[in-house]
Amino acid sequence: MDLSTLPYVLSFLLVMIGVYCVLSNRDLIKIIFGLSISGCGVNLLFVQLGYVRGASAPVPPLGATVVDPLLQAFVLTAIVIEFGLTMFMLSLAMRVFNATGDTDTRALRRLQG
Amino acid sequence: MIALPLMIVIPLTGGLVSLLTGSSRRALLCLLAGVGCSMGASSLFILRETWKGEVLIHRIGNWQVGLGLGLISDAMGSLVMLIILSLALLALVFSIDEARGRALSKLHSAVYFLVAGMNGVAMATDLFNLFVFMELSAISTCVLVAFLGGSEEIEASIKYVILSTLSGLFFLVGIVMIYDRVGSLNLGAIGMFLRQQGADAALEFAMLMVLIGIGMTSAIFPLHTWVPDAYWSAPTAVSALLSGASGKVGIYAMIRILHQSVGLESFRAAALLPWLGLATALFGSILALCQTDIKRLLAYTTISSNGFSVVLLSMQSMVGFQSLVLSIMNHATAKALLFMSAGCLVHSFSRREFGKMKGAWTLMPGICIAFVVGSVADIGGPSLGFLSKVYLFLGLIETNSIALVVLAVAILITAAAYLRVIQSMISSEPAFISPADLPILMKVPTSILTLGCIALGMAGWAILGASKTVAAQMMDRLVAITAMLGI
Repeated sequence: MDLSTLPYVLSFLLVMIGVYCVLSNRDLIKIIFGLSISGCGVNLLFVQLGYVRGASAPVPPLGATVVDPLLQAFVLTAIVIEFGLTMFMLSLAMRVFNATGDTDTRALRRLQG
Repeated sequence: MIALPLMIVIPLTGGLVSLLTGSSRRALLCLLAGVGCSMGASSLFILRETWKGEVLIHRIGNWQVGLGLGLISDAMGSLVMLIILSLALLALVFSIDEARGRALSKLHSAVYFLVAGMNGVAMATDLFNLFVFMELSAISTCVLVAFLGGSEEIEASIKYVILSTLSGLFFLVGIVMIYDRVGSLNLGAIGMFLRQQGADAALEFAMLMVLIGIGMTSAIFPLHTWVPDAYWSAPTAVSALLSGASGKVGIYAMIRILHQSVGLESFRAAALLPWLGLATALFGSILALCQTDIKRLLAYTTISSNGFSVVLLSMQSMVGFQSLVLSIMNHATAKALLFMSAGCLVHSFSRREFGKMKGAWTLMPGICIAFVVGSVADIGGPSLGFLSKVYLFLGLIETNSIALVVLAVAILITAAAYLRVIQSMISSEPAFISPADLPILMKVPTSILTLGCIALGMAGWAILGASKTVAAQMMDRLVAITAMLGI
């Protein structure tokens, strides 16, 4: 097996595990975990696309080949955004816990789309 | 052009400053006036420059093309930003009395951030930049939806935040795959690449992902479920802003990505788009008819009108774009007006079911007239909406007669939904509760929007002429691509 496809497979797996987590769980905290796992999968995809084997870091003095710095800038931004969203979701989950004493989404069925 | 980044920087600063004011009404009004004047000036300046047919470009930090980020604005973009600004100002004034006693400065701060995000989406030339601004507006929307703090509001906010995080992740996957193929995320470069090489399987998949991400923000059919809950839960002033501006920004981003950059003919998933639009229009109107809650009804009609916009966008013809320009202007004013008059009714009756608002016509005729003006404009009665509907049918009559019939049915059902509300307003049964007095700061924005709606209708033919120039500029893909490349 070609080892170079391994990171793709890994990040695909991570995204799928996260999505499965979101769809199959009824607990808010676990749903938030699922979203974070998916986010990690996507971030991993970013990082490994920019990676070039044997290349140096994109700081002077530059080597013959450097890894793609643009993708690393992207991934930093994406991580910060995910962090903000996760914090916000956790604070909402805390509000739900304070109101119902539980983080079960089945308690949240009052709005019908 | 320095005016372009100002449209993002000013509301961001306003958002930070309003957190410092500590809910003093006078300080918030002063801030509002300051932000309004400075943004209004730069927005009008952008409009004046783009009206000459130019596309304004700003390269952030003067980075070379392909490395740095850019902002552009054409005539349509500046129109969208003007709509965002005016609706946001009216909504902020409206919210001062609506959300009395709550942490008003936080509400205002979130609205300012939302405005910054939406303006960013309207100007971004880079897919990643667009994603960042989309997330900025999504987070501020979540905060606004949860603002009233009851358990229903929290539930709506949770639904929205989970859906938007997931679709944001899909969008990111699409972005990564496009970057892998094209080697750039500049929308102009992507457009050039796709036109020369066409889309392979990976790019097809990536475009589908992008479509999911952007379809969430503009509430396209399978991804519309968050809208009724969110609009129902948010303070009405915010629902007016979300309905009038946020959906339109999503549609404008779709035009930017799917028409101006990628081109609908270059990937296969685009063939789904008109049908999704039709389904959105029809489902939205049918579900609106089933509602008993006035804000929920308006939310469903918003979904329906977004469906109309998607059908128009997928026509990719001059007539279609002209109708799109007209309908965006019309819907923005009409929907905001409807939500604000509904907010006034909800405020004075302290009920949300319109069945309980009997006798409203005799008690508060002004607000009811505002509601009627809004609904007539929205369904395309004698107003700007009429012209946009005429052009819609002119465009469809030759190309897609099924769509024509479906949309006509959707309009009729929407009209029936509005009639149900108006019927219970005029029914003479005495009200059980005497309505509370409306504060002046809620009346003023509603009357301004009513007058604006009527004025747009009166100036319809003049606007029709202007819409031709705007649509022609929007249609011209080559100009858009060179502008996005920053050349």
